[in-house]
Amino acid sequence: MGQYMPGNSVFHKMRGTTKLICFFWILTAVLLTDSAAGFFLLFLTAGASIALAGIGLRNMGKTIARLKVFFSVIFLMNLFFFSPEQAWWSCWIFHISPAGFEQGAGVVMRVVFLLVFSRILIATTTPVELTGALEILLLPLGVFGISTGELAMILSVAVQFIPILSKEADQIRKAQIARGAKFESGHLRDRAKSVLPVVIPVFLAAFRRADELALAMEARGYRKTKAQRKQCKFRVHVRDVQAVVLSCAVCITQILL
Amino acid sequence: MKHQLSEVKCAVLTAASIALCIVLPMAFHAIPNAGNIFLPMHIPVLICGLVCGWRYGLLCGIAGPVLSAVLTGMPPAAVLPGMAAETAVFGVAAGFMMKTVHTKRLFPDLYISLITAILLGKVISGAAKALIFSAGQYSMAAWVSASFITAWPGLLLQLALIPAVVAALEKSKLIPARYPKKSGRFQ
Amino acid sequence: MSIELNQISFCYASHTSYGEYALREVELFIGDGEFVGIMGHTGCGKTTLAQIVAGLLPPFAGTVKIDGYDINKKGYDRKLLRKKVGFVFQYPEHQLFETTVEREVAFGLKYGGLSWNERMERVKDALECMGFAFERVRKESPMSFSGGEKRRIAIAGVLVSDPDILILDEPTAGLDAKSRSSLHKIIAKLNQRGATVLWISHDADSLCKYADRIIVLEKGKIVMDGPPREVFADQTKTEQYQIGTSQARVISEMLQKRGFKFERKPITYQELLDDLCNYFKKGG
Repeated sequence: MGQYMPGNSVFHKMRGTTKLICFFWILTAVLLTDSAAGFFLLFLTAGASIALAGIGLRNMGKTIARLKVFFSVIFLMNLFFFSPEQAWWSCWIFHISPAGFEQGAGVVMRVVFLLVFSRILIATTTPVELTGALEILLLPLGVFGISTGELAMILSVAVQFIPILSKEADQIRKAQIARGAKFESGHLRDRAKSVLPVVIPVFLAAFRRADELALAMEARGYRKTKAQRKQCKFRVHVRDVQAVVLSCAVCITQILL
Repeated sequence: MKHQLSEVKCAVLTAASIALCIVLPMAFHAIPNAGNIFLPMHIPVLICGLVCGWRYGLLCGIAGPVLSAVLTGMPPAAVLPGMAAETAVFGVAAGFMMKTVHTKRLFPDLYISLITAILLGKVISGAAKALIFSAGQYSMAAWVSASFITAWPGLLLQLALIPAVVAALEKSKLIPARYPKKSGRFQ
Repeated sequence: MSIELNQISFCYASHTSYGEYALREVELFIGDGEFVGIMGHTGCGKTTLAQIVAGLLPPFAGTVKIDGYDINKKGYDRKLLRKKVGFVFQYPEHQLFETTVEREVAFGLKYGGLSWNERMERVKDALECMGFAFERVRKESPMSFSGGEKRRIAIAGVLVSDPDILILDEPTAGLDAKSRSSLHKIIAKLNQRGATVLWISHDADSLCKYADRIIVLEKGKIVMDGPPREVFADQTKTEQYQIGTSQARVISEMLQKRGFKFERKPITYQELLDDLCNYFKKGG
């Protein structure tokens, strides 16, 4: 599932949590980038990351190319509508301005970098690692009364339910199509009406399975565990620390630039 | 016979809802254009919040979109933070409203909670997006109104769909009836 | 309503490296009004085959012709296909969603252009066929019925469009004996009225009793095709393809080993009973 690409790079060897933390620092960095120098720094970071992760440039290029329409629209919208003052060229409501150009380019580049970094993350981390990392990051929710044990259980059950519910949803969809529900053709209104016959049975199926599972768990003595410190088998490698520090540095630099 | 939703059941229901955050959009992908209009990922989050309470709604609201992005790449990373913020608020608000609003009838409770949750979600995420993405360039009002204008068919669908789902769940005895009444049906 | 499959192949996940062929170059002709049983071990392709016949899955290769028309050709009226072919999935009660029984069953007629009253007529017929008193159940919620009743409501929802071809995927799974036999009788009656029936099942007993013809699939290919007596005659084959055999057959085999001599190989209880009566009448 997902776009994981097996490999042996530095990134592949890093633990999921580290990568996720780095990702958030870099994410913030991308969002804060405002100057040309800042973008250049991002460019360097991205280039280094791609090289370290061992992902082909062509692959990356494909991902970006797929969204070229989206990018063009955003760029052009900003170019033409952003700021009516200091325009190079004006016509009715269209104003091409340098500010618009900068803004448009900025937004597009930010999204591109976001894509690049998230692609690197997903390509070098297996879904299992990612869910594990996600679980750790959701720990703060323990404050609200959901213990870590419960959280781990919920996430792992959720992942297991996905293929099961997917199959059920597919079967329900086909059953309703066989009865005449219109998904393939017809007005949007017809298609909207056909949503109910799929969504309701899918929820019923999901809740039914959840019911059975909960019953089985309770019958086997499962009880909600109090919030407890997770058994941390954390062996922090040098490279983990390096990665986090580096990402942090990139972020801070962006603030300064 | 009134039975409450046990903790374990809530937890497993939340897991099922999170799974549906991934499964529903995939099922809708078979229908062209449906994803943008029907916003299928919001539905399990809202239902989870309405049925299980605000804690679980919050968890579903965060874990759902994030897990979906992680496993299937949808929503794309650029859109994710905004969407997750929105759904997180949905989950919390829906759960909170169901706890506070008791009109003695199921459907009014649901509608009030849903509308409040959706409004709050849109406003708060709109504000967040305005702050993060444009650092004050576009006004907050623009962001908020943009999100309402493009999404209104989806909102209508959610308002029609979700109470129907909850009613069906109650009728099938998969969740305890909010206002149990003496059954008049004799077999 | 004849069904013709020509060189049908189907592959799951064909665009990835681990795609698997669920069906390989299947050729099949089913004539109008036949009652065909489809058997085979789990995963042999029965459900895939049925879904391809019903037009729910597009074949990877090959053509599907219903009444001589290629259903996957551009321009074929899919609405008509949905009406002509009724498909009962496994555990059909899981597809119920409406607030009242009458609306649930009437869903299949939604785009038929009939008036409400006309639709209610058909709904009434379908529900009564499945053993319900129309006026008593029409306004009830489908969710408030028992499992077996829900299933009957769901099947009524498929029968309401008066299909010429009825495909059922293990419709008796999880039912008690009484419900099972009453469902068999209903389907047999529909077959007598002219519907072509495709019945996927693991239950050799009922197929022996009702089916004219049995098709056995293994790993995506049809390996046996003939009347039940022929198909269940060879015990080594039935074991190889994991389709089991009817209880009557098992009993007759056991009796034969102990010296009873039968003229033919009985496959249903009734035949076994008759053969035993004849045997004893002749003095054993």
